[in-house]
Amino acid sequence: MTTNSSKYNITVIGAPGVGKSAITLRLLYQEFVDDYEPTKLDSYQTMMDYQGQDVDVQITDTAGQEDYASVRDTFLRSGEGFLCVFSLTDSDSYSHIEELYNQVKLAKSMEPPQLPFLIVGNKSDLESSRQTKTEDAQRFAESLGVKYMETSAKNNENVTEAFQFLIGMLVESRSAETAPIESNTGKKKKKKNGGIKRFLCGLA
Amino acid sequence: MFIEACRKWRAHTLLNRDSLFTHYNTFSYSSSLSAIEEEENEEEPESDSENLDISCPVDSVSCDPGYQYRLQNQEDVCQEPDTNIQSVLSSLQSRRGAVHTAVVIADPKDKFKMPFFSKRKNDRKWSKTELNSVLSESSNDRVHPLSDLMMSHWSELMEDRPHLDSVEYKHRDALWGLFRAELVYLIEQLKIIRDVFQGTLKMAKDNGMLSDVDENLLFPNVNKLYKVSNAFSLDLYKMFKEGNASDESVVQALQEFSKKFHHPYQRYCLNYTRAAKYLKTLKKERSDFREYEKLCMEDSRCKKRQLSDLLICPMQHLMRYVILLQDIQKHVPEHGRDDLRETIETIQESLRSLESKLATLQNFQRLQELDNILIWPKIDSVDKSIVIPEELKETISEDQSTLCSDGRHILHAGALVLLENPKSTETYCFLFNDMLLITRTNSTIRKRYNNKLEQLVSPGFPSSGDVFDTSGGLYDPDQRYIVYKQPIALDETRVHDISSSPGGCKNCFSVTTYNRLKCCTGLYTFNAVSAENKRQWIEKLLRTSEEFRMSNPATPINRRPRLDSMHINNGDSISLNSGNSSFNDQCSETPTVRGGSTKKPAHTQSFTKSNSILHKIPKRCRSAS
Repeated sequence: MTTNSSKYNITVIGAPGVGKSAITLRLLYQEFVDDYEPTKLDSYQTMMDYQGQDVDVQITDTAGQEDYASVRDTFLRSGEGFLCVFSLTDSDSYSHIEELYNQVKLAKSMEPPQLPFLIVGNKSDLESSRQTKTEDAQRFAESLGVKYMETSAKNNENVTEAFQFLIGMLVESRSAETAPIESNTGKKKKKKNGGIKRFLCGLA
Repeated sequence: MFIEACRKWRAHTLLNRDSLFTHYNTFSYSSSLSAIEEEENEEEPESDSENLDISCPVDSVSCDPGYQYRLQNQEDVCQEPDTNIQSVLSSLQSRRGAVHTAVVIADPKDKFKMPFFSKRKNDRKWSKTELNSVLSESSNDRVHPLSDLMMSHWSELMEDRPHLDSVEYKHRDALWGLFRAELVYLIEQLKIIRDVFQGTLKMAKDNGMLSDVDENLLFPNVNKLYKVSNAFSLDLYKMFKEGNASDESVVQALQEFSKKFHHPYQRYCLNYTRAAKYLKTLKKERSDFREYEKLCMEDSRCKKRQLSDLLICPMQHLMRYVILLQDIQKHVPEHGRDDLRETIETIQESLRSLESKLATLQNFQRLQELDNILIWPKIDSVDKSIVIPEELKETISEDQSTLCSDGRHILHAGALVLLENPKSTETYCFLFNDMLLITRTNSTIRKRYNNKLEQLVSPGFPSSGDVFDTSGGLYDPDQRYIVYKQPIALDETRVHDISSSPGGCKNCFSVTTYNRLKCCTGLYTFNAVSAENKRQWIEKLLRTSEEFRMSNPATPINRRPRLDSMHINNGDSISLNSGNSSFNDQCSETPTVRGGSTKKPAHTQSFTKSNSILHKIPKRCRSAS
């Protein structure tokens, strides 16, 4: 059991063209130059360092699924951690975030801080055509109770950090899961009390 | 117990090569003749000859000595399952040379070369069936013959590299991308599911273990997907191999593929949810199944992936085709694009149909689940004053309402307080696209019905909640909901924002219902938990009833009265429409904007007015009746 529980799944979601694949590939092929485009695959496995420990990470790139909500739903349900990407140069992709966030929340029946979810504003290198202000995105993320980061897949800024942050959340949530069963039942009760409220918040 | 037995089995097979061969042999024969493939035969007459080739190798002897040799030496190949394909092939090739010296074998540029390509360029059809049969056998080998290509580059395949301009080079790069993605998918994913997981399960079943695990449920048509993908990779490989990566052959391979992929993938994806749920249940409830998975995962080919990680791969890969093809399209010369575009459209069409089927399926499952936890009371318990004549009692009790109706889907749900005399009731309301359902939750009733439900559900069969966990947070699948009022059809309802409510409650809104004779038949006033919650409800109710009316053009008798009495709500529906167009924006905006949108002071008066009018209507109705 220990071997499979040390494997973490990160699903990269976001509107079309925000750089989901670019971020994923950048993480995997750090050493490659800009104009090299490695073959795109569906999912990747890699080892990442988390607090001095090697962890197995499977990254699922959802590129190509943007227009298919029900298909996406299936993927979200099998995902664990979610890297939600938008493009800083495309405000449409930014407005898409809340919808995605709600879909993830419903699919997983989880909410932050338990839900490993990170909002990432990509293409921070294109400062001149930026359409979303850092402060706005930051405030918005806070209102959802999640963290926000800005990355540049092109310049390889913050990419590893973003994934590492999610790994951290996953590691924590998993260690909480394996905690004694007693606390688990307590959690369930609590969940039921807050249930209606949770449902109401979850609907949009 | 189980794990030990399986390990024993493995050790046994590895030691006893004959038995391994027999096993693989039975695998290839039994599986190729299984129902799935028979079904395939109906679809493609071509594979008929393929099966024939396997079962009657004698026929092919006269045609191709190499092929015959390959069949005869299947044993040799199978006896060395762990040696890499190259050494197996070189041994095969050296012996082949003895039988049929004319065959060109060693090519230093190739990491691995299919023996038949170089020989049979002209006779395409024959060589294809031949290849298929070889591949369908070799698929049961431990290493896929094309697996070495996963890490190589197309230029390594070309015998004499002609000078290519950068456009052509990039075109081939993109094509290779498609090919490599297909190979990785085929070998690293499909083959693992099929050989490691499905194979081990078959093995276990043969030995009387896990015999009640439904293989077809767990691995929906994986075999068929493997075949489709295998044929496609082979076509692509052939294209590179023959150095003729022209648009024509690409398009041909793609068209061949796009003809075949639709049905198997639709079937797989539609069954995926069920498979995933079944897997989850098995893992939760069966210790021997966990052991089985653990055993599978010890296989080095598995790379620590769990079955759940692998089962979703086909769906994921399917969604990728469009992107990969678009990559190719970018580099295709102008004149060749139309065919490619056609193929992309075929795939997109298939994806769209899959999406809508999935949506329907998910919706149906959700409704079914909800239907299971809804309790419809008899009419006399809703309205105590009703008298049911003895002879009608049976008919009435048979009228079981069911939610699962065509095109119905759930849109919204949540707790609301229904203001009533003498005391208000806490309700849980469900908004569907055609009706509003007011229910009550009751913990004592819940217990009773839970017991009843447990009796109803046959033992061993997973209860509906386990199979379809589709609530999506809209309701609690463990809760029971009792229908409190008769469902409210949305075609004849109006929604009113009540800003100054009776009883000093904040966040109130009312729903009035009318029958076909424009009589007001009901008035429900709800109290929402927050202003935001109220806004959501009103917005959704208005939008839904509007959409419902649009999709169900009313009969003239309905139309007329609504139009002339609309003026009261006109302001509301207009403001909704304007809000509607910017609905997406609203969602992403900060709550301050939302607060602003709920303020409708201008309507306050008209609502009170409308209420006073409405209160009169029921009286008139009553006197009329």
